[in-house]
Amino acid sequence: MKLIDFLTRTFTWWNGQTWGTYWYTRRRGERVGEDELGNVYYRATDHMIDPSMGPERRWVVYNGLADMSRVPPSWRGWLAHTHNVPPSEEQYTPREWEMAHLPNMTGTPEAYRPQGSPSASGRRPAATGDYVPWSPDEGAAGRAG
Amino acid sequence: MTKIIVDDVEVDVPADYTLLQACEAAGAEIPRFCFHERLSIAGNCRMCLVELKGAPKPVASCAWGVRDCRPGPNGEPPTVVTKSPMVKKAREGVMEFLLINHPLDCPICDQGGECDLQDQAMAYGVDSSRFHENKRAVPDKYIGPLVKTSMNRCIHCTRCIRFVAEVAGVPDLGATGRGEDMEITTYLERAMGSELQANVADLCPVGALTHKPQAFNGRPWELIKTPSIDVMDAVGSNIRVDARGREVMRVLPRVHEDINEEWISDKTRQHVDGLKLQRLDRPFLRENGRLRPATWAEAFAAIAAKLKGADPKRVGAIAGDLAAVEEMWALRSLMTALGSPNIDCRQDGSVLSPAHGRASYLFNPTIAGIEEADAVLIVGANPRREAAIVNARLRKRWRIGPLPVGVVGERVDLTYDYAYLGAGPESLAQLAKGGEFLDLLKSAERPLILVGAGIAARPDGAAVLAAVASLAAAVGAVTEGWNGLAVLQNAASRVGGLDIGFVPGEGGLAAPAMVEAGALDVLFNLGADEIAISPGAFVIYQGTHGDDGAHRADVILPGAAYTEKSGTYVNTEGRVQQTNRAVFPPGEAREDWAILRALSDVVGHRLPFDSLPALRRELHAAHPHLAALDEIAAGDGRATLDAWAALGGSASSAGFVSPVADFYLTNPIARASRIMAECSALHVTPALEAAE
Repeated sequence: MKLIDFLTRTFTWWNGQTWGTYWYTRRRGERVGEDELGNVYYRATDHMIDPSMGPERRWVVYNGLADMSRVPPSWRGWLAHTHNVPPSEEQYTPREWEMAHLPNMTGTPEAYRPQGSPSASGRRPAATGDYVPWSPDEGAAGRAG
Repeated sequence: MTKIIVDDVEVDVPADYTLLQACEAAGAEIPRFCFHERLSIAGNCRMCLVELKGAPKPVASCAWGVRDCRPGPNGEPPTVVTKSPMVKKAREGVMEFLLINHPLDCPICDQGGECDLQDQAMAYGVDSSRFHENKRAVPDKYIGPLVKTSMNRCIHCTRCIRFVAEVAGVPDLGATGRGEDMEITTYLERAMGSELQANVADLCPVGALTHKPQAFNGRPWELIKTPSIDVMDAVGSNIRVDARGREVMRVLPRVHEDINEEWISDKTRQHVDGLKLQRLDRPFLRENGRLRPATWAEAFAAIAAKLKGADPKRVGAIAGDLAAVEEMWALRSLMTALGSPNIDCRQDGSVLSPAHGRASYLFNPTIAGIEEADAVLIVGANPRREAAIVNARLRKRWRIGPLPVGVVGERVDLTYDYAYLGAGPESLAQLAKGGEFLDLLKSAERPLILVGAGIAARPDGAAVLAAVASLAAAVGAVTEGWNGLAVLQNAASRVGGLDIGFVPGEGGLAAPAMVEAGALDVLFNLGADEIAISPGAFVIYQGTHGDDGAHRADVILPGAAYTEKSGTYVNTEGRVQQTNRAVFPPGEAREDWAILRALSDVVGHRLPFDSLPALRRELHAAHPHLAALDEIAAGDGRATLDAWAALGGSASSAGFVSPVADFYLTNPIARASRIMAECSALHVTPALEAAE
């Protein structure tokens, strides 16, 4: 283990896993599969002690930044108990409307801007009170119409 | 006078009144759709039903005369009831029928909020309909770039047809089919060919005809309404400027019985998009042959530097067609302070002058007075293009009764019949020698001689005016109580400029001489864009739009358009009126008088007023008649005839040509407008091409 991994696992929760998760996964986790981003999915080996207390526990150890939006739709369905067959055990083909992963871009230059926003097009849409100033470079042919 | 009892109120009304007018005289409100005071009576909407005692059924009050009513059994006056259960039921029934085929478009209809049908359905209708079949559907028609149609909404009141046929005088709208199949159409799907066509959208009581340029732009309740005066022509139509925030959204007519009644021309109404295009919103300064944006201080400093060493005799000023009296007064005061006699407000080179008396440049019989005239001679004018509202009044007079009209000038469609007497001064001389039309003029009690301002701008203008004067004297156009000499101006500023003497002083140059190469060193151009200025002079252009004047200028001072300032305008009749500020000028532009006042300080001749009221006090002290708003100070007609007759010179043989070649593009605001350009391309260009 590299020193940087030891330090991030000790002092941060947002990179991969913490020591607590690491030990829990070592003791109880059963590896189910891995997605295309390298996130690894586990389920508890002993299930619950009493099944009536709820369904089995499932979790993900991120490959890098712990960002929920990095879980692909197929694995998210399994994690959230929408279906019980993990995508690694079936021939899963995404629907045409299921888009490839795009992380949350809020706060970055690629953040979503609604239609008509000056930041989206770089131009402010026309509004009441606007006028077109004359510019001497247009020449007489620059008249409207 | 006939007595009639309306809702227990006895009124005495003229016998030729309709029941509707009698009811209004008695204070009863009658709903109506098809009836309009200024159009003929159609009587087809049935909304104005009232109960007439003795009549078996409700009668349509708009089409029923007071003299048609039968008196009571004991000779008592006829009785009309407008509030009985029978009338209420009749109105509810009519409203239900009207709404059968009217779509529920109100939320997406541009008429919403100012719709007669909406209001009257609320006031006189019922809340539900018993009609469960499919509604009628009618295809929309194309009737031009100014009026949008949505024919599903039409209730067949035929106001638009009657307006187009009676007031506008063109055969463009009509109806096909009967009953439910009736459709309003132009037959050929082509644009209406009238300068007054957009008024049909105002007349339409529903949203079937709306203003196309304003489609889906705003709601009437979000607009600030400012009463104002139009400057597109010299008629001075009364208008209402509707603005939202800093933008003029539309222009609507205001009623003024003596000027525009309730119509305005298409240019007056739809030039408004020109108010936000090509605007001068900052000063410009020419450096190394190129104009660059500058600050006010830089612009003023450049002007002061040029004026400092200039010979006052080589400094001049020209005022354009849209200038208000206030800024012309300020500019005149500044030029007087500089010692320059070279000022002129007649950029067309006209010889009309205050030296000939005030009557020499006014429409003396007044526009309302046209209805009293009993013979009209039009010399060198095309009133349809130069003043569409005046032409509508001439047509109104022509429709009232036999009116002999003679035209010397261009042979054009004036929407009424006339005798064509010739093209130019020779025909005028021929007419003065005698003939059938001269006899008509001589026998007329109130002959009206309409003189286009364009003839005074000809090189031989003085000679033509002398010929007109001798003709007018011969036919007795100027008598006690009637001055039939009517000069039809075509620039809004012209009468005001002549009133305050914005003409060359002792030894001063007139506008055409000023713009010649080498005539002047410094030329102040107050919004004159229709005159070509030769290279050489240092030109200061103060105006609103980047038109020809701005391209020639060395310094540009951005001014305010007529919707952006309070300015006095004197119309062609000599009627003094004021515009009001509806919105603020764009960017760094300022009100024109204030620019001149600030400039005067920099050039070292501080003008003696610091506010518009102070300027007006000085102006009114010098010219008291400008203080009387909506009044006409009449001039001395006989003195004018004498002054004109004394003008000499020989007339050329060239025919008279109207100075307004393109009705839609006469001033910088209209030329900036896309709508006006579209109208011009549609109506004027094909006509000009056909003429070639």
